[in-house]
Amino acid sequence: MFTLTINNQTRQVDAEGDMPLLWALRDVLGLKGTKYGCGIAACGACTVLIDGVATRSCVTPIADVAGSVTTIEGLAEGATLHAVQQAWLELNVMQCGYCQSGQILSAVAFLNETPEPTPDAINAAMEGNLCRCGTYPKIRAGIQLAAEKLKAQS
Amino acid sequence: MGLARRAFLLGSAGVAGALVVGWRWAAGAWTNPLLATLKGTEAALTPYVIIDAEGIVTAIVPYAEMGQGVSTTLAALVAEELDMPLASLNVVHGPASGAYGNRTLIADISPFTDQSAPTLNRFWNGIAAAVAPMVGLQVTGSSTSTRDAFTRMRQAAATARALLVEAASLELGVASAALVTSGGRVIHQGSGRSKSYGELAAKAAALPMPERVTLKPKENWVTLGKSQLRKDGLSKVNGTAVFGIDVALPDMLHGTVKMAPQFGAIPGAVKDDKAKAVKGFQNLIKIETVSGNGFAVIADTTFAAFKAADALEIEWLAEGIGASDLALNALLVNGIENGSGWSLAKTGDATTQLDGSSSRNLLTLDYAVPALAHAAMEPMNATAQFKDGKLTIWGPMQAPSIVQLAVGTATGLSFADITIIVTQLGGGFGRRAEVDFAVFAALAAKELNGRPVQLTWSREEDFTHDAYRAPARARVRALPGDGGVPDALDIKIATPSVTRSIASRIMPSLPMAGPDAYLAEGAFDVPYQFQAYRATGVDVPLPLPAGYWRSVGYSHNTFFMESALDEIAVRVSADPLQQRMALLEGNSAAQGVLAKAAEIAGWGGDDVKQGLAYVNAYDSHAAMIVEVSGTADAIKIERIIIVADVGIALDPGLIADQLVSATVMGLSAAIGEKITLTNGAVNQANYDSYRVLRISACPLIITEVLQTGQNPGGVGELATPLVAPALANAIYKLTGTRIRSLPFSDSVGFS
Repeated sequence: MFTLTINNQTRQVDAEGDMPLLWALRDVLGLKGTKYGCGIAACGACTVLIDGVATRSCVTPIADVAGSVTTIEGLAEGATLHAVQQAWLELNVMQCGYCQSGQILSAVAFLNETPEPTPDAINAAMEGNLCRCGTYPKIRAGIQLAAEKLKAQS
Repeated sequence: MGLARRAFLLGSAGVAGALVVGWRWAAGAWTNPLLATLKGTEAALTPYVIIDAEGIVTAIVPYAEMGQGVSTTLAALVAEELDMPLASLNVVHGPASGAYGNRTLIADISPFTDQSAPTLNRFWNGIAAAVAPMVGLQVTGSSTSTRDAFTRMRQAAATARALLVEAASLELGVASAALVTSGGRVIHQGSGRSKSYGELAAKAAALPMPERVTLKPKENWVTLGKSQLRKDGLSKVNGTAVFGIDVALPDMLHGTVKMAPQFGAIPGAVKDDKAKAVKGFQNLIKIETVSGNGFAVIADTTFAAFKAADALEIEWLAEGIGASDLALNALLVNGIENGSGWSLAKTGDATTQLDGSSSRNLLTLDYAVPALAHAAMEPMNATAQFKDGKLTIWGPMQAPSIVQLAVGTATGLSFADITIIVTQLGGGFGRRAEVDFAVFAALAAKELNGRPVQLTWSREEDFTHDAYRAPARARVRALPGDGGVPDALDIKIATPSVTRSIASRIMPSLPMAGPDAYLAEGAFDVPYQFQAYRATGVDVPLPLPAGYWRSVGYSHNTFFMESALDEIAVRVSADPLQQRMALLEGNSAAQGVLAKAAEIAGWGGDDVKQGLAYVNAYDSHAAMIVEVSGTADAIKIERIIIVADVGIALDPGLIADQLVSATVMGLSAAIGEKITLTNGAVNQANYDSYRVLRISACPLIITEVLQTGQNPGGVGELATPLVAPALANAIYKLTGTRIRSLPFSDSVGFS
């Protein structure tokens, strides 16, 4: 039995310690917003935040999770979407949407560190998140718009 | 309930003018499938519209949402005719039903109606006969959804509107002609009295269907033609969208598959003690199907199923199986050298001219493309439950009615006992038009005593058991003429018939002789006005499943054709743009996209090196210009300009998104994607070895949407085939080296 903090709630996970956080979230806790893509940290679909750091949950055993986990379900504050979610919505960034939980959480972690992102910095930060629909140009625009929104909020 | 539970498809209206059309055409002979499942106060005025007593309007979008925005654009068709804001409509996928059969798809891929051996007609007619009268051909593919729905869904909504107006006319005691609709109400303009759609729904449902309805003229559109926010947007930013792998049922088991690594191999001795020792292990179920042989591994969690599958020790019997990609290539070369194939287009006598020519300009050009994987971000999966003799399957499917057929064949169940529920698709690209993932889940569910099971393939199983874009080769012979217009052109293509490959996995019993349009689409159907032309497709069966891959035959044939035209122009120092313009004389839509792309790019400048390509597909035209700089070791793609004429743009924003999406997929494949085989097994098992384009390699993409037609053309696949030839032509200008084999990263480097 492991005790994790997920979206500001304490959750008990009855599973083996080698189970990746991804599968604990999805199959044990029923938080389906975090997606399985590759299982080897090559695609970014499973990205969550652990203490604000973008982390590939598919290669993170629950025994190793020490910090506070934020998944896509916990990103909005009540009905108020995070600026990145809001920007994604306004620009129609998503297509199939499968990779977007991971894209959004990678973008959130990046903007926390880099409030005024350059195009090169965006590329570097988002390089680990694949999108087969090819939404990359809109992801770039979404991050720029979110940066403006965050600036206006602060 | 008080609702009329009957078929609404009465009367016998004919077509009378462009905007006044009969309802019967819209739904064919099918009864309204919604009538069986209505809840509470809901009324289903047509198969596409449900209105409840509160006035909540739900649009049925019977095509798969795989990112292309179909749930938004098709709902907009309904919103427009009902005079309601799109934002106020709900959207659901709806049940599998023949009422939603895709007729454009059949027309699109069966172009040989009058020829002697119409393979595709036979195939699709065979499928249609097999599934009638229960399911019809409900398929999302070939960029047909909007084209197919454009008239039908507007008619359906207009019919619903007419019924609501008629009901209001009776309620208010005024003539229908004095009533208008706005914001979900029918309003009497003279008195200001009105009734909401909700108040009228039950009465409207009991009225006889109108024989004819009038569609709103384009100039009165308020929703169509404008960019809309996606209806699926919110659910895809807050994590609530339900993809196949997100289906959660009470008491559900999780599982995965372990299939033979070589296509056609079967399992021999199995050692499963280590697998059974994995905590949470439940079952090992043998799977033997025309789609593959192996096992389903069932456990309490997906992770436990993965671990148990890894722990299985299976001896695979693969005698006589084991081709490498080099062997496959040899088969294709043989097809080019010795295959007769089908000449699907013939103008003049190209071969006599070419065979007899002694011109030093005579070109013989060999091109080749590798196999490709779909690599959709959501791995293959489906969820199934078999209980009390009934099977239900949930999953991300492009072809639910074909799944119903294949699952029926595999399980022995009748259609009536199989229910299909389509989820969101985490990418489709043609892969989810296959049936394997659903059949495997169905077979597993039959062994689990009524418990539902979700089978999620590992990424490795997904990559190594795809229905691949087949490798292909072409030989082009050409005699360049004035201005780069060829005096004679002969193109011969060798690749497996996608249709035959797919048929072997769906209905192996169907007779499958004759030509397949996919062999030579992008060659036999080009609108170029050649003086002497022949396009031949040679079907070369390969020991590798071939499937639909975004733009299918165009994905290779447009590379061959548009590269060859560039080489022909270069040979006689002609301008590739003027060459295309001359070949497309009188075709204003085709010339229009080329001219616009040239204008945006500043064609002919020398600051960067530009390459051009053109395609006409899915009732749309598109031209692309790729701009490169740098050196052969470090090519930089500066910009890609894509201009499409889509006839009518129902949503310019979503169309631009699809042009970008298809461009990125084409670029990804052109630069770095390649599936290879060793001893019959696929080498690339994950995203580390199969190189899908990442964000830093995505250049600036400029889109322009033109609309000079009367109907919407398809856009989901249109741009994909243009990238490889436009880039090849640009790289030639930059480096002087002509690359005739994909992917480019085998020959040059990119910065």
